[in-house]
Amino acid sequence: MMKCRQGFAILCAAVLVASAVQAQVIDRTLLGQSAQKLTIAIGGFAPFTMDGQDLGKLGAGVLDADLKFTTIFDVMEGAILPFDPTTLQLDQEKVAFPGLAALKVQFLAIAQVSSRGKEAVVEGRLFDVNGGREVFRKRYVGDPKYYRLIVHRFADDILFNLTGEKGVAQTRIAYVSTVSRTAKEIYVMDYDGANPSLLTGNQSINVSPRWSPDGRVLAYTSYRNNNPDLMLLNFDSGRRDVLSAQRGLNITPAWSPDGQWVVLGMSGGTGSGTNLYLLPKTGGTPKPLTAGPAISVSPSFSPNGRQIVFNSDRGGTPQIYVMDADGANLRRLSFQGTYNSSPRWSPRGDKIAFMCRLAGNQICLMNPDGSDLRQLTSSGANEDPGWSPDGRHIVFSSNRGGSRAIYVMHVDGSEQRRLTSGGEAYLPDWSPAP
Amino acid sequence: MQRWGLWIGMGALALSGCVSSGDIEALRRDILAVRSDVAAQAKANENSRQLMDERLRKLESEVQNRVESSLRENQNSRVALNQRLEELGTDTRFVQGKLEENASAIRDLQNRVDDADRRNQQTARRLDALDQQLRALGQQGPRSDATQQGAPPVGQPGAPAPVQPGVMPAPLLTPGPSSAAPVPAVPAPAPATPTPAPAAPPAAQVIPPPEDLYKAALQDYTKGDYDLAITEFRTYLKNYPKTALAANAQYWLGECHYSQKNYPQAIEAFGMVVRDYPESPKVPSALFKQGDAYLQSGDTARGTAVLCELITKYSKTREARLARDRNVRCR
Repeated sequence: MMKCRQGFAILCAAVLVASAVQAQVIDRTLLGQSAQKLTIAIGGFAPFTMDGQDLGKLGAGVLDADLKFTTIFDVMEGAILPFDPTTLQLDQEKVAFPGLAALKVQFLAIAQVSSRGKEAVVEGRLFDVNGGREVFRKRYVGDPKYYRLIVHRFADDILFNLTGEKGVAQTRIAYVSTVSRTAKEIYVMDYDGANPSLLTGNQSINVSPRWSPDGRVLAYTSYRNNNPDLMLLNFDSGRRDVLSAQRGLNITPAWSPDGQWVVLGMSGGTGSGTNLYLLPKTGGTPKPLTAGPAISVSPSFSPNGRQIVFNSDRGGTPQIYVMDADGANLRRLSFQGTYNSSPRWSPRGDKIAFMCRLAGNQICLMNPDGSDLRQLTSSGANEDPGWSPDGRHIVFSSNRGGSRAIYVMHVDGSEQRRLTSGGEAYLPDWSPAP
Repeated sequence: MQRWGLWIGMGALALSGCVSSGDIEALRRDILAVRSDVAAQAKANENSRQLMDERLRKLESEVQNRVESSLRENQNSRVALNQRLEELGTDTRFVQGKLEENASAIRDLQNRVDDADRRNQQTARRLDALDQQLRALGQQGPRSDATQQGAPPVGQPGAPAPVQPGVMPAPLLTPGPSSAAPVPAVPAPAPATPTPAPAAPPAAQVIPPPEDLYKAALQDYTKGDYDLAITEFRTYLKNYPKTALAANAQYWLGECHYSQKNYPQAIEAFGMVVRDYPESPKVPSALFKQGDAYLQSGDTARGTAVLCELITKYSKTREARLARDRNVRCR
């Protein structure tokens, strides 16, 4: 376990010592072929008060939201269960769930909340209703302060055991918030908007947070030394190091998928342009990828690390371009509208999300060859798209509710939901899965 | 003259040794006169100096004004020139943007032409087959109901013509919903017991249309599934070598090999872009990658030669600039 500095403790998810009582694992490819949702019911979570809050009610709510958000589950309300889970003989070879099959419930998640000293304990179990067998059982223990994270972990385990897919319930979102007329600080919150906390706090302007692929470092641009420098915040050590402080801009960083390189926009070179440079994460001489008087910024790597999509006005208006990671083989991808920006390559590789200006600023999707343009938003001005690590969701900022706030939606544009409240929030970036 | 008179007078007095009061009076008058003369002279001098000063100042300020205004003019014209240059730069960028848009439109058209071509060929083949069937029917005479019904449907409506089914990995060749399977030449033997299908028999495999195949291949490359992408690009090149996307497929095939650090295969594939598709806009990139692959595999001489070819033949391209950044020494 790494040393957890105060303020970063929340990022040290391993505080949860999960003593796993691993049961057998059923077919993980269950969802590989079918798009049909799995029906799951949540039971247990009996009232249990600790530090003044009912962990039972809270846990049921968190698990319900987590499972629904995956888009893989139809979640039945616990209230519909025709029996009290505590009365079931759960430890038998074959468990009977009277009346559940008739409700077409396929899986049953049961959690029992208790405490051990000052720690909260969740005994999580997942049952296959038709087979009458236990899919897995795991005990989650941790500080009640991180109780939501404990339940998130149970949710991710349910998803992983049924589909083999890594869930996003334990992920976080970094974003920028305006704290005063002159200060913009970087914050981080849980993926569902809970537990927002300040990361920078230097009373200066801090923008463009980008998680490293292992989630241990955050790259961002800070004006704290009166020049937009590129900083690296190391969560393990708490250190903030300057990676690039060339005179002029050092902005819009992107990590290579292997976490060894950062590509950023710099204006310090010869000529008037802002161009993309490749820089080792340990520092060194930046290698130019683009050249000329145009502005080329906002890079994003393809998941195989061999392509970079970015934004450039080399054709007169800001458009989306893609090039090989060595700078060769440049192609323009966007041809509709006079303003397209902020491209982000999906973690699955099959889509690029970007801001398109079609009747206002909107979030659009296209294939990496520029085909199949789709508009996902329509209400308000929507900007700064970013992907969840599983490629199923998109985070973005929108002013549809008055002030600018962080929103999430599914990749098909459905279920757009606001995460932040109060103040101005924008430029979100979704962390990798733990 | 008066002064001389005065001095002589004074000398005479001194010689005579005695001075009358009338003389002194006269002398004083003379002195006063002389003083007033001197003062007048000084005043005149002062006036003329002031005049000179004034003229000098005027001259000076005029010179300065002229210098300043000419400097200003210079600066204005330089600013104007800069502005004009910047405008030109912006104009050029807009023109470049329009060019990009036109090129994209042409690519789209080319793809549509390719698609139409392919359909035409399919239709022609189907017509040929029908023609042959009709002829066969004509030769057999009117007593052919049974055979006609039992004959394999060569030209089933809606079914794509079988285009050389090759051996393909399963994920790619899931037949589309509308495509009926072509009848295999040799029927696959039915397995006695249902086994969990280790490898699907290639009976129901159809080569997808070029654009779908190309997209699938590019996507698999992007995801890093290089082996699958290589098979797909090869299938594309084998079946659709004359389409507009063929040069690109050849390039990406090289990229797949390069990404696997399989430099000999990458060198060969990039070389084929240059050789087989010399008009393709991918040629400079292919040369750059080929040169790089040579360098990566330790063949500095060949790598340098290829990069130098790129620098000479395509000097204005981005790739030539990237090659120059590598500090290759060309003769």
